[in-house]
Amino acid sequence: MSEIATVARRRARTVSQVGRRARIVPLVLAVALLVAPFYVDAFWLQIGLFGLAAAVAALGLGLLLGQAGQLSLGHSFFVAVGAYGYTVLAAEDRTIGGSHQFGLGLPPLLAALAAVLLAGAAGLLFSPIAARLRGIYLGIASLGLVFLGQHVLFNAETLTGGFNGRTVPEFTLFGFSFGDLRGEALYVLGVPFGREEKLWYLAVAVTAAAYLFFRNVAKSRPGRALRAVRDNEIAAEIMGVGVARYKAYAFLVSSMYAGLGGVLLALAFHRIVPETFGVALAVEYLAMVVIGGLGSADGAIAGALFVSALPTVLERYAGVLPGLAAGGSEGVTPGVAAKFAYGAAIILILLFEPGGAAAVATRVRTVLSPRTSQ
Amino acid sequence: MSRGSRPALRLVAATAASLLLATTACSTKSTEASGDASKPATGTGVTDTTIKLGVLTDRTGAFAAAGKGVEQGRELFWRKKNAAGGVCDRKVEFVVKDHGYNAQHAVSAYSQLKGEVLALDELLGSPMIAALLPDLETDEMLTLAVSFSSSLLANPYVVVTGATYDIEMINGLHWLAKNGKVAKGDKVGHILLDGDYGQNALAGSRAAAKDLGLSVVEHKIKPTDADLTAQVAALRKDGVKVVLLTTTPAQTASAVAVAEAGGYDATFVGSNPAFSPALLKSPARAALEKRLLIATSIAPFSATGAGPAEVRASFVAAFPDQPKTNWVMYGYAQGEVMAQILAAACRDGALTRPGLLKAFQSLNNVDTAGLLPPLDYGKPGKIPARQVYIVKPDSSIDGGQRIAEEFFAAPLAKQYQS
Amino acid sequence: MTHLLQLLVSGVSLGAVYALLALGFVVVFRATEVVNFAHPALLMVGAYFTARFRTVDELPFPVAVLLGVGVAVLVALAVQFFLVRRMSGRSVIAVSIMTIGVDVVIQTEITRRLGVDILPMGDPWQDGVVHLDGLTIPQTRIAALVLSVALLAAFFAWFRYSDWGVAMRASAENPETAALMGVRRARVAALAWAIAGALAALAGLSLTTFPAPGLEPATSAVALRAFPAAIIGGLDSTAGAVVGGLVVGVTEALAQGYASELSFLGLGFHTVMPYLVMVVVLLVRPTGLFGTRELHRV
Repeated sequence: MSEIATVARRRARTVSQVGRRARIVPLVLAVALLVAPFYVDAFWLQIGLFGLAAAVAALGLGLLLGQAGQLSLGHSFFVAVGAYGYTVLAAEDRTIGGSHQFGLGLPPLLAALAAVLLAGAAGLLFSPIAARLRGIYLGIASLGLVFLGQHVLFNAETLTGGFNGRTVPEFTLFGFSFGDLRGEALYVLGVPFGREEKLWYLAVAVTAAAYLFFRNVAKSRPGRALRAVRDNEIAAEIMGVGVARYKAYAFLVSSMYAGLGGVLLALAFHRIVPETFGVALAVEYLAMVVIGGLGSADGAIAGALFVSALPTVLERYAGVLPGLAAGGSEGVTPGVAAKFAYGAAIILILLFEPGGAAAVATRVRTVLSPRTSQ
Repeated sequence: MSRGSRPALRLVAATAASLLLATTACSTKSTEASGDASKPATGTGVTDTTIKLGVLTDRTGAFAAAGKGVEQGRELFWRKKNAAGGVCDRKVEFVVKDHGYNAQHAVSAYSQLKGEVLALDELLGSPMIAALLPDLETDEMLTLAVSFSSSLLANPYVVVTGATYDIEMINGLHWLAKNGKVAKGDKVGHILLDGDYGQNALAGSRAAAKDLGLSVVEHKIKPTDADLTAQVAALRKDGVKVVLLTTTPAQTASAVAVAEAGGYDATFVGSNPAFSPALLKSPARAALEKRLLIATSIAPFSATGAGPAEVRASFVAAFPDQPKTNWVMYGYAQGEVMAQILAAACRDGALTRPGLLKAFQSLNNVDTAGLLPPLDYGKPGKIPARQVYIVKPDSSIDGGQRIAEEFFAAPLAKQYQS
Repeated sequence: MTHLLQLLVSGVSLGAVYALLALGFVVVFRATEVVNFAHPALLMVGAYFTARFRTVDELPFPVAVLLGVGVAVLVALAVQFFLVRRMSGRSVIAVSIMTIGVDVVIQTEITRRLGVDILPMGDPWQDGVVHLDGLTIPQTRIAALVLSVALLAAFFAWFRYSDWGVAMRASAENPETAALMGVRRARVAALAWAIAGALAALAGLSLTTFPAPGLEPATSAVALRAFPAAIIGGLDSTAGAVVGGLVVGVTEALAQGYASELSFLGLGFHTVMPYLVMVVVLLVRPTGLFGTRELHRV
């Protein structure tokens, strides 16, 4: 038997093993996501809902910053447009006591799509300003949008409910309601399916679609054009890439992502208040994208889940740590410890992993797979 | 592609199918939901020996103010009560969550609490309360909100322990009129934070102004506005003699100190959260003692009366080095209110969420031995207390507040509906 | 008229404080291109320790201030040496986001220590005021103005004429060439952070004296005003930071003072005003009033 043939056969097997392993991870993930509501309680599903809503928005910012190189600190503004847009469009018009709350009463699916388009339009409107600005100047100018947006949210009471916020209409699809139905209980395979369980599937489907679309754009011609703009605007212009047009495109698409994330966020919250859509959230989205690994779709999602879920998870388990003071006293309470851990986590992950969470995943994958010859 | 992929796919598909089938057998969720409902006398968070109550508070956010004192008051009350046997032969325990003034964290923490506790003993932070209102109703979660806004009364599950912000302002303005500080035709200023806190107080000041023939000049500010020089200057230009403050303690100090330094002879009346004894260590002390009054239904730390005396004694014994505030009184009083609600539910044989609501609405005269005015929860949606103290800052007294007028209620305050 | 003058005076003195904030921010950005999200934390550290040294340890005010500034400078240097320097060669956005983590950790600790306290600074001016022609000017604000002007003048002189200052400017202008010429980038960066720490501490001091009652957790939120101030002036111009600070201070004071006239824009408009001014400035000059203009012709 030829030794060379043995090596060739073994190598073919190794390559197919790698191929199999690479395919197993996403499949296992998909299965886990599908069966989660049957095992996991509402607390974790709620965290997951917030995380997925953040993931969709983060994908948008990843496109804008990672692919097109436009620094935007105004992402929470477009998320607010999506969230409040859906709420106003889908809610019934009513007058309670002295206050009138405006609503168009559209079917939720239509309201959601319209909200996403509205957010996109807002992004498109902002893009001429964005085209004139660069780098941190663009960043802080977009921060101004957030302040302006919050000002409107607090003051336009008939639309937004002012500081009290508004209840988000439940999402329905062809008669099936994703909200809790009073008095009725939906049982699937013996497990009671409440609001969080039903919304989970909606969120997973939307996130998956958003993810695939991102990968598609990144691989395609618009993606390459965006990266050309990111790397060298002047050279891109010379090469015939219409810089202003692609910047507008980047803002349009990323704002639509933000709007979609906003709709999911509104559904996860069930009642939205203006405080949510402020500077802190805008900075959080930026952190998600950077921590996850700029430019990568996997990274945006990983970063989103990390930044969104970590504080709550830490707070839940912080009480387990020894030596903590009871709540209300002077010492380090679980809440304080959780916040320390969150800040430290951000520092450490950026300090030690240049590529962000996406790079960590790649490293893990490389370690797990059998070595192919170099 | 490669030959290896099809067997792999089959393996995964088989695993998935078996997982799904196993779901019905293995999922603990399917059994959990019905667990508590099978025992009619007790609900979520209640066992034979303990009752669990939730606390959703802020310890790490920038605007956490009253939280600590409330916590201390609660601790003092329940330590004593549990030592005496608790309520309904059960000890009361607390599950504490810190939301850091972030609505998303509050909603997540609430999701966890709602499966573990019978009711919420504390919910702090106006945006958090606003975000959770619909869920409180859906989950039938009785909630002691740390807020005195009468707009919350529309939700039957929210317990407001004290007179509301609008009542405070009505009583405050009436007291000023009675004492000759304002007369018909005068302008009064109102500096307020946007939100439930400020808007509710403004509703009260407007109602009182109409009743007394006054007009209100409003200035809305944000929590980040530390320097109120401009607002005070504007009010002075408008010829205002009395300024109402529905602000944070630091903002109150800023406004009063600026007025005093500029020789502006105005009287200031604050809502109850607008003052903190910590202010008396600052350079604004003299100005505050001279010009500020507070309208509050919470007894000052130094108040006479059985309740305050008892709280003082236990506080000094348990927390000798801690600052003395009237929030401790409030926390203790909330303990008393919750204990009475639980006791009434126990008597009815229903330590469940609907049982708690019924018990709550049956209490039409909750007595807290002088810590708060008598509270009437028998009329859902109506303001539970109408009386306030008028209090003056005084650095020579424990707790920094001296009573200028004992509990009273102006005629308008008695009939006012929000 | 007096009202307007009073507001202008108030605005200018507040603007001087914003200028200090903006300058500290710009110094770090110019030297390292990092957006320092931990600037509010440095402000809190400086103010907190000054207050403690003054009220708890009862040291004389100038000593307490020096020590407070010293602690802030030490913290800033520690951040630069142990964290920022480790990340050299990485994208500046990554470093900027890392400073968010630093901000969370430091502010959580300061908030925990403060609790419900409002710490006074124990300054010698207290609530003293100067009456001038019907105008009332707090002595602390005059002190802050004098301090700002002195610091800024000293800073400019040093920046322009001293060896270190030239090194910083060269490093910002052309890092590679400067390095080839012997300018140690790490040292320049460390110096920039140290200066930022000192400026933040002094700004914190100015923000917590009269008419404010003292330091509390909410004080850090004011530090955000540095952003529009820095942008309006132009991020790579230290003179711009000063002008930007003054513009923000005056617009805010005017918007607050004439709030009833402006009520049709929605109440509480004064928080949005600085950003509106900023956007208008940026539309006319995309890199701020004094920022270097990049020429792009394709």
